[in-house]
Amino acid sequence: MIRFLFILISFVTFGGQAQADVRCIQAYLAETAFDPGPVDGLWGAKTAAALEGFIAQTGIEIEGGEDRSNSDQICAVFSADTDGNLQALGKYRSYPVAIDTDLLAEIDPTYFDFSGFDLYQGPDYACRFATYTTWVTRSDTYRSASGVVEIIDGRLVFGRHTYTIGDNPIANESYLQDLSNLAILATGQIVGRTPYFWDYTHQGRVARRPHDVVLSFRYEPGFRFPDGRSILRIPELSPDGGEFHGTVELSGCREL
Amino acid sequence: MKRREFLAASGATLALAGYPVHGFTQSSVDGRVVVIILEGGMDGLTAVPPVGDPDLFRQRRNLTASNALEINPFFAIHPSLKHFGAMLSRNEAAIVHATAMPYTRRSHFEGQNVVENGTPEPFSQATGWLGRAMDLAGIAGRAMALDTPLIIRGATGIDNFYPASIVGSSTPEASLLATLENMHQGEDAEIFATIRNNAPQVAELPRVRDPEGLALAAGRALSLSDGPRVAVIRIPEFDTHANQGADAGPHARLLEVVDQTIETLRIELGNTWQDTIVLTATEFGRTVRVNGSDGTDHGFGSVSLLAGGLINTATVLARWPGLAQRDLFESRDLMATLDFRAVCAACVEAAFGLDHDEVAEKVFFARDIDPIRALLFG
Repeated sequence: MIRFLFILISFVTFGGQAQADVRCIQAYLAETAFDPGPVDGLWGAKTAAALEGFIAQTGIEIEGGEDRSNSDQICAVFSADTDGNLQALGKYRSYPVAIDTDLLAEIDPTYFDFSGFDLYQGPDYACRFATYTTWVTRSDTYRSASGVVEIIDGRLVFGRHTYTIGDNPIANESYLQDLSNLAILATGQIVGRTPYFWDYTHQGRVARRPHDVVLSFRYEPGFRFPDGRSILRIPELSPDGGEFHGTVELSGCREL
Repeated sequence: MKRREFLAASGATLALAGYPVHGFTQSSVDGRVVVIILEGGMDGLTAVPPVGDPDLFRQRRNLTASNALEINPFFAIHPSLKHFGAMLSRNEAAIVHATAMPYTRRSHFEGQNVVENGTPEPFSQATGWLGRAMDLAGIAGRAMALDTPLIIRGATGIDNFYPASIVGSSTPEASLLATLENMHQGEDAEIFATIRNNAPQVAELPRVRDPEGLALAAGRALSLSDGPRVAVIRIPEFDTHANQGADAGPHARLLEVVDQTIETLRIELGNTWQDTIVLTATEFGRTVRVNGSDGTDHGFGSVSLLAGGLINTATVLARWPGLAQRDLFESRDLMATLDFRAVCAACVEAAFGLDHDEVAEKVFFARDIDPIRALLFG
């Protein structure tokens, strides 16, 4: 045991090359949110990571570099921080948020990455729109919503003026705005995502939260933007186990 | 049980303040502040589990959601917070972890008072930190609340206004009528049955007194140019001593309420969301380890969720204390390493354009509040 301790002490003192400069850096970082591990004068992965994190967050630049080989200079910079202004910048650590896109799609039903798509580049338009819902089980079609849709930078922004819940039409609710995330491509096709809002009540409240349904929209052949009809066809939509089709028609488009 | 039923009988409240008063010097600041007070003590380690800390699962495996959403290598968020997660992804939200007011006696009454009065001493102030910040910013006003919450009381007298008839309050709830019916017999029971049958079937309607309904009203009011600048929403029931749950259960449902409350604010605020900061406040966190009844007890450090367009970069701000036994406060609680007053200060500085030193001195009566506005608001 004694021999083991002797070997260990020898290692720390000589083999591990405990350095005053490293100890100085560690003692300084120990007072920040960047934990260098034990203040032992030994350069290890924790010390390196803490120094790197501190330098990245504070944005300081140290002549000669910010790594172990320049530890004397780094120690000098830290020692010169007698009022602690630099140290205070690292008192709390900012852990940047980086959410991967798969996760985004999971947590935000309207998330859609348009970066790979060639979006419509023409002028912006405002059009009237109407949606028609057909219940398969009841075999009837009714106008379920209408309002204004704006096409801005290729993105479709729906603002609903009327909405029908069950058999009750609800009018003049100008603030019923969809949270869809749809865009027109240069080809005229529409891509994106939208939750389906079907539970508006009077006074604009959403009685139930939007269902996180991803809709597949199909471009209706023969449509010529911006004066066409039936640009959107929702072939199947059954958020609650029911079965119905929905169609969206645009008309009266004017350039913005 | 549905969330709405879960909170149907609870005392969620809303107070709006800072309605412009004619003749009072107006502040030129457009910022809005919404404080969501989570009463009972939110479990910050459940809301934002530090999945990169090896002691997390050692200490509280049964309290951590199995499907938490990882937002960076060290932290995740509870899956109930999905709208908040979407805000993080859009750089409209931030998290402050291991934070608490400098108060460690674990009493709800004292702790809630401290969170509102903005000092370490319970019942030491007749005003609240947000009210004093409004005073400093020259925001006058009228509060729309039955009783003005301490947090928004300032030196400037607040004129109270609470409408006798509020939207939704006249519609009886079916469940309440059913209860009344069951409590009576014979003809009386029939009368309540008739009322129940004739009442509009709007059980799913968000009611003004549940947090989402309050957020809807608050967001809409705050979005008006002549509307209030400040809203305070209380969400009670966070005191999960028993059967707290992990993936699901009471605490998960409460986080969903918080998530929907913030999302409703975002939707209703419209463009004003860009000038808004929403922050959650709670009187204390909860014990790190599970107790004998599958819940957690009163603790110390917790988490604060921030959201709003005033945030430019999504981040988790913390001086992580660790969850090993030796790192815990009194060997049982998450240590709070960041004074929650610094978070409050940063928010009012950003929203109302106030100077840090002035806020520290005149709002919190303390010079040693760390300036963290730049870290949170860029």
